[in-house]
Amino acid sequence: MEILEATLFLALLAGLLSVMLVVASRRFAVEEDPLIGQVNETLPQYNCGACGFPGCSGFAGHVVASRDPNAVCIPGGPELARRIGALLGMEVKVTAPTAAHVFCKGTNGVAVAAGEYIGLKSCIAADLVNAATKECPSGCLGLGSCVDACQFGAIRIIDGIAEIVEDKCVACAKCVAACPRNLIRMEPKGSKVCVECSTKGRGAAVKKYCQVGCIKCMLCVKNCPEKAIALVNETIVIDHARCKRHFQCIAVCPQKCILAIQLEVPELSKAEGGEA
Amino acid sequence: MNSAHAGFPRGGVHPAEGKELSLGPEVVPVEAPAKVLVQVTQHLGKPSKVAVQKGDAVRVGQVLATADGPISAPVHSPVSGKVVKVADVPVVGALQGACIEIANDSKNEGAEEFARRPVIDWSASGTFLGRIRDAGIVGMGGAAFPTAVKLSPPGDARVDCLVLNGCECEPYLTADDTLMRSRPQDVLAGAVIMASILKVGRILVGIEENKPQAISALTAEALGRGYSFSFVGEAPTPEIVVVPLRTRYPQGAEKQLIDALLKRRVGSGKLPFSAGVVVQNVATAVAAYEAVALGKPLFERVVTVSGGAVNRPGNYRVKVGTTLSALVEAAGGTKENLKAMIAGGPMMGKSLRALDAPVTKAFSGLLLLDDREARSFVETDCIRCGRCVEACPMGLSPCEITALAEFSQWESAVGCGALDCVECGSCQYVCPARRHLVARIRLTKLFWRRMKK
Repeated sequence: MEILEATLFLALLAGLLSVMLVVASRRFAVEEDPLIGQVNETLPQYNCGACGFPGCSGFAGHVVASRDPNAVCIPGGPELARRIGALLGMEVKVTAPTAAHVFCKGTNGVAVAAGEYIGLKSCIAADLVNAATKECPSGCLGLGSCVDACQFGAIRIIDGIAEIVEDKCVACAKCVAACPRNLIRMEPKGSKVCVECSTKGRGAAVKKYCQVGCIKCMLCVKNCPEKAIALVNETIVIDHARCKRHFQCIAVCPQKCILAIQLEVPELSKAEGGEA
Repeated sequence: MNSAHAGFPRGGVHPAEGKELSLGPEVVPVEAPAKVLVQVTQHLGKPSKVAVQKGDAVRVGQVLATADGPISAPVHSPVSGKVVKVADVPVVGALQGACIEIANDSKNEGAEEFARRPVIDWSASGTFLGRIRDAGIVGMGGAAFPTAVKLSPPGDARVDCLVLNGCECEPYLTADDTLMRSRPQDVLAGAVIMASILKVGRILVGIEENKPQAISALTAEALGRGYSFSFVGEAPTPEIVVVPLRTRYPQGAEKQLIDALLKRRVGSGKLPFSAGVVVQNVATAVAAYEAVALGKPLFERVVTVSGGAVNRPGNYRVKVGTTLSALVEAAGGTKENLKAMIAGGPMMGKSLRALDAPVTKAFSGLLLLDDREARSFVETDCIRCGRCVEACPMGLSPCEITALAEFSQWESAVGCGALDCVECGSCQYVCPARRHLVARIRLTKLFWRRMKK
């Protein structure tokens, strides 16, 4: 008898609550643009935050609501931009794919080491106490703050410097913000010619702390047929849009700090050892 | 550990003192080297402005850089000679900093002005604050905050007590101890000058009990009140009490010292003004005395050079701008087993990579530690023993804050009081797992500042 009573009571309660739930879900339903769901489904779901919105769904909500043509899912690339454009029936800005690049090649042995760092293994923490692993004031500390910041496993520390695995890099730029020495910049994905040094020092001072440090001799700037190389804010920068791959800079660089990335460098007439 | 004397109420540690190493009979003067590097900005606040040019001839005590704004301080030439250049060179506490390089002609032109008989004109006490400001005096205990600013409390503050900080709780350092033992009259004269600026009638001198000679020298002076200098006008007679304190690190931290001496608490994020107190270091007091009685700007100080890897540890009177390598040379050079170099004390000092940086106004000590003193350890996981909680003088839970910081939970870490951390290092000193607690709390503060922006 008691069992029957309890069962009946619970069944009644369940029935009542289910009715309440049904009513509530009908009355308080939030209408969401079905487009948001569709856009969200096309997104990579990395939740990397490169777009500046909280996660992929946040980005989907924003583009659908504002139809902002400048809102771009960077990891998605041009392919995704076209699909979102088709869904929303509008032109979406298509950007050339980029990838992070570390502007330091001062590996152990090449860059002069500066004592033993025994503190917390984090470049940011080391930088806070002006500790360093190398004498170069703008060399890669190699303690892996960028590695910790990368959720795609696209960075590794090899021989004391950070290196980006371009295939894995989705260009979220988290590492750019994590590097206390601002050694990482976003560059066009794929082949390019880069000055692999970030020091602001000049001449003999640089030679004291690194074998491949840029000494600001300006030979690359003078010898570039396309005038694509310039001294910007005390570092040499190559304008990739203007670079026509003459490789003259690589041939003349006395420090061998200009490298061709994913490119075959032909035999260079001027070179005294032109291979990069 | 048991002591009849008062101390701050919670936390703290008592590391091996190592003070006997450098506690020689007297302060050894060091001649300025042929090339001095005077850092342009040697204080906490707005950077100073360079006032000399390449090729200028300078005299001892001449202004090299002027104060820029109210929270700033001028810098004066420690030698006579010629300005060679103004350039960025490695400095203590930063990778690079602007320094004025002077070729020292060793004639010390202008120094005779500061060697005359000191006179304090009490009838002109209104000018004292200006003289301290113009002398470029900053807190010489290490923080380097402009002293004149600290002596000008905000209008709503009711300051009733000047605390003179003679704790020197960092191991190895004996510069303040030596100063108190050798110049007790000047220490107290500086304190009376600062008390007259603050218009307070009470001076408490806090000294840890491991400096008995300093305590007795200052006590005798406070009772006798015989002045070595002549003075004009009526000298104020504030009550001076020398208080021996239980030896415990970090007694010399402002909040801990105020609690130990006066049983007053300075709230989280508040300044000592709020508790009616101004705290000044003993070396700062001597500098204030010299500024008022002699018109002498701050261009030299006593520095402890100590550690197992230095040949002649001791206290040295050096000119600001002397490179650390010249200082080490004066101390007889280093031994082969040199392992670590630290600017300041071993608990809170800054690790140095080279000795090319110059001595600054707030540079209290140079430690050259051997391989026995400076050992490195491997960090392991937290074992939840709670010893860091016991050691924290601010009543925080360092293990909890750093556990949150490890997972980038900056907001929660700040909620646990990370901003109250004074980075004294007591927690890390006692941690059996050798956790990098202070570094993680520093990271928390950095990311919190970035989030606030």
